[in-house]
Amino acid sequence: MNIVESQQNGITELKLEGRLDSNTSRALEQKTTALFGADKTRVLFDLAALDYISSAGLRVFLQAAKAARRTGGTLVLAGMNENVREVFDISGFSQLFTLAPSIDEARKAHAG
Amino acid sequence: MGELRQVKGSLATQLLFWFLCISVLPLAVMTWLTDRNATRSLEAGVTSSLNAIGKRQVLQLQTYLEARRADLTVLARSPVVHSSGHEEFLRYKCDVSGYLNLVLVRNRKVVFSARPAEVTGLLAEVTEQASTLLETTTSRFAVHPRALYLAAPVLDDAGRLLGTLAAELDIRVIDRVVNDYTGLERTGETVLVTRMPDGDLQCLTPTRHDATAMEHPLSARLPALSEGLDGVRLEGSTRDQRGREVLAVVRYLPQLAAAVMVKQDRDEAFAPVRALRQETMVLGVGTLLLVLFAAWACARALTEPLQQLTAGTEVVASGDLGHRIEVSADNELGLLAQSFNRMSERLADSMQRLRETIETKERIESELTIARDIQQQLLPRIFPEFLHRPEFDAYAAVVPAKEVGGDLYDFFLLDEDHMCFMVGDVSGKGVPAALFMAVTKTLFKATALNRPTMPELLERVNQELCRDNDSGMFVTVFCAMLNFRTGHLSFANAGHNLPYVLKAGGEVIPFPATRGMGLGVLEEAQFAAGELQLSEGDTLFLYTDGLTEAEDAEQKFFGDARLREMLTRSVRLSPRALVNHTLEQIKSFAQEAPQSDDITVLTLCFYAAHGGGEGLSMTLRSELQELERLSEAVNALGEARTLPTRLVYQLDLALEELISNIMNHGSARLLQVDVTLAERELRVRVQDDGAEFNPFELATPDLDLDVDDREIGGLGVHLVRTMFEHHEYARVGGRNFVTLRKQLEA
Repeated sequence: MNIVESQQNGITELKLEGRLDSNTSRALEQKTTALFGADKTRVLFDLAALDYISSAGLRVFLQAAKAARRTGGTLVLAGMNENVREVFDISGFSQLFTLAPSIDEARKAHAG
Repeated sequence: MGELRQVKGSLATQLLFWFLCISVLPLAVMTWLTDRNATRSLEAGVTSSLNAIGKRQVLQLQTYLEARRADLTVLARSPVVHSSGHEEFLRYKCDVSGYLNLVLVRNRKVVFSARPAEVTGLLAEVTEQASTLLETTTSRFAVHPRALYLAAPVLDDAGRLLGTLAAELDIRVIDRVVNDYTGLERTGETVLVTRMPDGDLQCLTPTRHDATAMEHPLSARLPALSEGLDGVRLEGSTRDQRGREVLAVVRYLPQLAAAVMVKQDRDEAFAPVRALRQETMVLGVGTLLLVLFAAWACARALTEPLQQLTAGTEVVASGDLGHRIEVSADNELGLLAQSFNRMSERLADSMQRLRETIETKERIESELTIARDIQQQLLPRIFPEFLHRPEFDAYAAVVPAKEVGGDLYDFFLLDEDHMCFMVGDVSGKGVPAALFMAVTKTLFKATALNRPTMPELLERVNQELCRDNDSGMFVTVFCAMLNFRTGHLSFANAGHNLPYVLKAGGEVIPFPATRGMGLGVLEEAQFAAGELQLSEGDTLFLYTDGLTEAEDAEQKFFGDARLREMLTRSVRLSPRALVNHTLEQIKSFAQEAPQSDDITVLTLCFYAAHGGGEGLSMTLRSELQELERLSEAVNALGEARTLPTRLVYQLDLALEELISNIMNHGSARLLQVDVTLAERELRVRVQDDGAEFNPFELATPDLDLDVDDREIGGLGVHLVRTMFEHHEYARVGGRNFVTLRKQLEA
């Protein structure tokens, strides 16, 4: 899995590519732990290129959300494909996260 | 032991009591009778002797007085006494007749006398009386002084009274008679008593015990003497003047107006009786002592062996059957002890035999249990050969009846395309049936590996079984060979129940019947071949008649109809689930009714294989990195079979979740993953060699919780459960099996 990080208007954008599974989730976990360690971090996850997520990946997002709650940060998940969306739906995570259909719409929403 | 002692005392007391009763009572009665009789006869004897003495003495006194009286009367008539001058003669006459004095009184004056005398007192009284009565008269017996006179009138020839001749009698004669104690022993005496004018009783003579008895009147009231003085003759017991108890005889002596009492002290009279009584007493006491000793000895002779017996019995009762009782008594008790010893011996013998019997029985039972275990172990219970086989799945189970039984089943691979399976039922039960079953199973496998046709297989096994089969046992067998690449099934039947085919579409149809009889009956028996083409999803159901003949509490059979109905409702079950479901049905049908026969069920589901891509079969080490390899293979399979990406995703996800769970659980070393793509079904089987772990038992997470409260555990399994409607866990042969199935859209 590739993680591409960029900054736009004070918002950290993380573009995830490939598979987020038991083997790869650790890399993302390190990244999010570092990001949400600081106060009021705003993170936009671009998931358009994320082919696969398992419960190991869900765990990383849940931890990030909990950390964001503590530090006043926010996170938005944007552009997930149907299969990933199904996993989010089944696990009830769709209700826990701010989801955006695409990265562009997410940016607009943040800007607005 | 306190109790025992009490018992002994009781026996001795009883013995004593009866001994005393037996001996003392008659003795007492006899003593009493003897005593009474002796007393009576003695009294009679003494009384009669006293009577005789009394009679004699009275007679003597009467004779004496009458003789003097006659003598005086004669003398009074003699002329010698008419005038004085004859004093010499009178003195002579006094000496001859024993008179103390002779006096002729006329007009109260002494005319002459043998010895000097004065007419006063008693003399005057008696002479006056005689001259008045004109007959010979006896004076009263005077005691102060003692004197007794006889007086007779003296008449001349003309009958004129010349005077009165008085004679003083010698009282010593009377004293001598009265004091003659001949026959009166030591205490006997005679008392001569008269009544004085004043009414007092007065002794006239000295008595044996009182020389001055006549000097004073008797003070005591003596009714016997009073009555005697009234002329009543008496004899018997009474009191005398001294107040002593005496035996007495009383007679009246009219001449002296006196009573004569002859008596003897009772003490003396009954001395012989007392002596007899004393002797009896001594005899009685002696007898008593003798009886007591005899009773004691008898009690001892009885109780001592009894005590020994009791003590011995106690020892034996406490469990020491080897103990022997020593009783020295040479009687029935000794015999009893011997009998008791013999009983102990026999008891010990039978205890020993019983122990041996029990040991033998226990050994046989334990051997039977081992035999049953061995027999059950002969049947395949672990199916590792089929783990790698996505084309079919099979499962079987036996519920043995209480005894060692004769049901058997087997399945094994013949090569990469063929597998063989069979179900059999040996006639009869017990060890012979079990042995026959073991032989049959061994023969089957050994013969089948040479790849005969099914009829040939039955024929060969039959020939082997018929050889030396003297027991007359036989076995019904259904055997079949499946080509699991093609689904072609060839089979033969040796008299066994026809199996059923559960078609994937829901139909339940019995196998076509083929000719054949039970094995072990006829050496030249022939068996017909049968063939059947299985379709994907068809399940075979083989069983023994223990299933259809299972009885409920009212002894009704489970029966074919009920079986078919149950199968119709069970078409979609996996082989394992079908077997378990069937056995549960039987169990709830039979309730508490005992199971009389083994129940065997074998099921086989043909999943079929797809030409070209049979799916996926991988063995993984328990490392997370292995998941990458698996994921690649799954995606490759998806591409090769052009599966929908969603399905591939779900398969990928399910495998990762299951396997990461298993790996996290920790104890598995190797995992085997099989993915089978049938025409309309995706089947996944994950097995591992770890400790028992059922991922589906993990709790479903609460999906409505807020971020802070959500936990990640259980989410993966929840995803799997949601995506695969059929998910099963089983623990078989030390392995965990997770099976997933999913219907594919057309």
